[in-house]
Amino acid sequence: MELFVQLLITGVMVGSIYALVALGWTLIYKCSGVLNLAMGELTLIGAYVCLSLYTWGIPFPLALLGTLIVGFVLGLLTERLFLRRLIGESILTVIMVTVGLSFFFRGVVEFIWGTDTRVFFPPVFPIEPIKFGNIVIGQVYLWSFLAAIVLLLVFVALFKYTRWGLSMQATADDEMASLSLGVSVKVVYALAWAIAFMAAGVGGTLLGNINGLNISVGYLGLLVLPAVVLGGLNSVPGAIVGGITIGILQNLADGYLSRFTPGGVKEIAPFAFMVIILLFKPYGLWGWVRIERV
Amino acid sequence: MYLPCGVYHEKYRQDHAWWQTTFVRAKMIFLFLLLLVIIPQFANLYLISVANIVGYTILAAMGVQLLIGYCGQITLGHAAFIAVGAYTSAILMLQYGLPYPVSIAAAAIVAGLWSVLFGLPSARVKGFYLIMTTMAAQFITVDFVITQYVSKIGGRGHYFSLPPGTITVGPWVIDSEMKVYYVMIILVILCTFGMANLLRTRVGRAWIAIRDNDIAAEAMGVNVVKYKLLAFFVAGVLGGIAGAFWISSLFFVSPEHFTWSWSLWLVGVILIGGVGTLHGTIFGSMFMTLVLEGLKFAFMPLSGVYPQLLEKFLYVKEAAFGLAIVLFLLFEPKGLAYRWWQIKNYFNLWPFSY
Amino acid sequence: MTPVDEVQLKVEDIHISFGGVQALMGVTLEVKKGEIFSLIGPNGAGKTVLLNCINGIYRPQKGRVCFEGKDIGYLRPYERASLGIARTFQKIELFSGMTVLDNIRLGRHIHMKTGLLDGAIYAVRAAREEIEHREFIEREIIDLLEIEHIRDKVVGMLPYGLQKRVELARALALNPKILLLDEPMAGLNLEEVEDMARFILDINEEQRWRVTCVLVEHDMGVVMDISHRVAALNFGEKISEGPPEEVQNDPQVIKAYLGEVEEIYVTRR
Repeated sequence: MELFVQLLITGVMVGSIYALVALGWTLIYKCSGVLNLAMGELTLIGAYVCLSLYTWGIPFPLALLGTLIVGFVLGLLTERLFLRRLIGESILTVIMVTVGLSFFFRGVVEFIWGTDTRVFFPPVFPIEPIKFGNIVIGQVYLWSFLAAIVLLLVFVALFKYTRWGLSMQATADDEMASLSLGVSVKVVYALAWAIAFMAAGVGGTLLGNINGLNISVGYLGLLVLPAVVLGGLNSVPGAIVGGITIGILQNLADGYLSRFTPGGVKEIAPFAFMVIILLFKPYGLWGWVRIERV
Repeated sequence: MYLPCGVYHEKYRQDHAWWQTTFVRAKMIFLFLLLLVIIPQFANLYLISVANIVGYTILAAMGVQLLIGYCGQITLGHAAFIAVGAYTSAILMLQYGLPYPVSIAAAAIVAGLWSVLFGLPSARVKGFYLIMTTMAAQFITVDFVITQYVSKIGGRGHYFSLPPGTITVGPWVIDSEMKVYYVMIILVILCTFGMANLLRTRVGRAWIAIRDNDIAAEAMGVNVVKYKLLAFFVAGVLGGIAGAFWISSLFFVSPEHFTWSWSLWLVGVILIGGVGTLHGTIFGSMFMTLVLEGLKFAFMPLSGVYPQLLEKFLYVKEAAFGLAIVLFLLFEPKGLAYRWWQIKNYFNLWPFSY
Repeated sequence: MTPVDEVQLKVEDIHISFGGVQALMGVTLEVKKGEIFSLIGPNGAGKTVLLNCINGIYRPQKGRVCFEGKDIGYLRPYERASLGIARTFQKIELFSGMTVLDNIRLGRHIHMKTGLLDGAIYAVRAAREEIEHREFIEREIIDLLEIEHIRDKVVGMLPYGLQKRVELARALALNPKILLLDEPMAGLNLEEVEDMARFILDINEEQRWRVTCVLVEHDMGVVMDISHRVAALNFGEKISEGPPEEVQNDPQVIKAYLGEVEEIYVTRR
């Protein structure tokens, strides 16, 4: 039972980081219909930028701020250079452009930072774990969780209460109609990408703080895909719930199933769960069912 | 269908033929001569090994082309089925000492069935959700089943190495690049012809119909689920053949050869070659392999001046490939096959291009 | 041709709803063998939904669909197609990447037998089958519908009117017993409409075909000219059925199309 609670809590905390990245993904999809497979590399870039700034001696909050700024600029650039031309192209084309981008980004990251594991040094968060009764939580997890929650709230508020958030919702619903009402769809797309880069960057930084940073953090970024699929692609609460669900499932599978196998459960569990769920609910847990019209 | 003037068909058989004029027939015979006689005679070992890589890429990308280009089922996990083929073939030869052709056939069947297993969700899900299940196929197959279980069969450690002399076709031992080349040419020709034939008969038409409009296909009597699974099966078979071929060239096999990047690479190959054309697969494979080799050559002289560059070549390769895909999709979205068609047309009509 | 007095297709008490919208509420119809049966009604009356139910693309929540005395409600669309139910679509649903000939060949799908192995080898059996069916297509369909000149063109490039005709050709290639035509004249010009009407009459009357047609159409002139019987739907319910003249003068139908004009006048006075 204790093990269960422990796993559950760790799951929720890691899951909240996934949720953050998933939120960025959903934002792009909702606004521009782009299914982005480069999310893992976006987390990588963000994490490495923050790491570099931090090792140069910039205090962590400022480094994080710097990451956000770099993410924002990169997001705008990516959208402007590559994705704006793709509006209205087929799903395969759009996906493969993002795949191409992911190869490109990964190559660049590896070229600049290499493939060795790097850690935030000195550690950003204290190493001693906090104990609640018998349950042990690393401070890193706790802080990451808090940071993720705060950012989630900020994003949701932005989406709900600001003018640009409203424009994004409008664009997501009907691009043509929002164009004709004077919403600048271009700006909305750019903003969506910028925000996604920023979310991914923060997510990557937090993940990098937990286990150190190497190329495999990009793989963790890929885990948002099962998360958004569970959430049903186009639902913001779905992305959050999906992210946390994936975190929990992953940790539970790791805790209970890995003794039956030689290893590797943690990495593939989210995908296995996703396939099983898709077999029974083909549109995810909260996705819109499409009625075929002929 | 553009025929030179003066060619009139009197029978449907003539109209259904592949090579309808003497010129085309002569051209194809020349091509075969080139592949089977001239290249092996005159090419050096390096060129042959590059040709083998091209052949492997063609075989591997053919299955992806079938699923994406002809059946409209986007797959991002094809390396999994190549891996299944490679491992099946390797195990059969190592553990049971079977001859190479038998192991290729078995690898093809096993990979095909494995592919059908992961094609099953396609009966219910479409679009992005299907892409996700193929990705799951990749991770579950390669990173879990093969890495954790299959590679441990026989206690050989992480690699399966095939000692020289294990790969045999009857009395013929495949142990040199040249022999691998012949295996490659035979497999590529067989697979290409088989695919081309399939695509002009009932099964292939059903696949294309599903790609273009699955609802109408079903209303016209096509059992959509069955044909989708059939497409997954054939794609798996092609992947299995590719995998089984590749071990003859490498002499060892490890999960690192079948990463997710390789799946994505294959999709990139068909996009650059042209989606929905068989010769696009071939063009794409040639282009991608040759560009990479060219990049290597460009880097060689630089490495004397700047030695770190060579070890970072892998990353440059990755970035270059990514950029190539993006630029191709943006500026040449129909791929090389379309360009080829345009050039051919230009010369067909030359000098009166109106 | 005069219809035989034998029910070929029977739709009984069909109910279907999408979310909160009741698309069909208890529609019952009988189509006799050899007749041209037209469904009319204002937009959103549920005509296309009814065709989709017959064809199997939608499953009604209640009610039965019987074809030649057999309940086919549990069959998938492709199984219904192999029983001889073919259809065309309202918005053209062709295989736009294939040539006209390949589109029609696909219509022969259920009559062909080539499998994976034969297809991959091609040489003997598949080649023979391809030629047999090519002969059928050329002689019976391409000739009838006058599309010789476009047989090697890619469908997506053709003008709208020809696409409609190719769609009819594809449905005919199935060699159907009953043909469901969803607005075959929509968007055509006058000449094309007349061509299309002639084709439908040919298919219905020629000794070779004798296909029962269920026609959904808004062009009242054509409907009244060529159909044997007409049924009118409104808001998912059948409001009238009978020979064209009768339905044309049915006050219910007039009301459905034109609204309740007279009553408004009555209240105004």
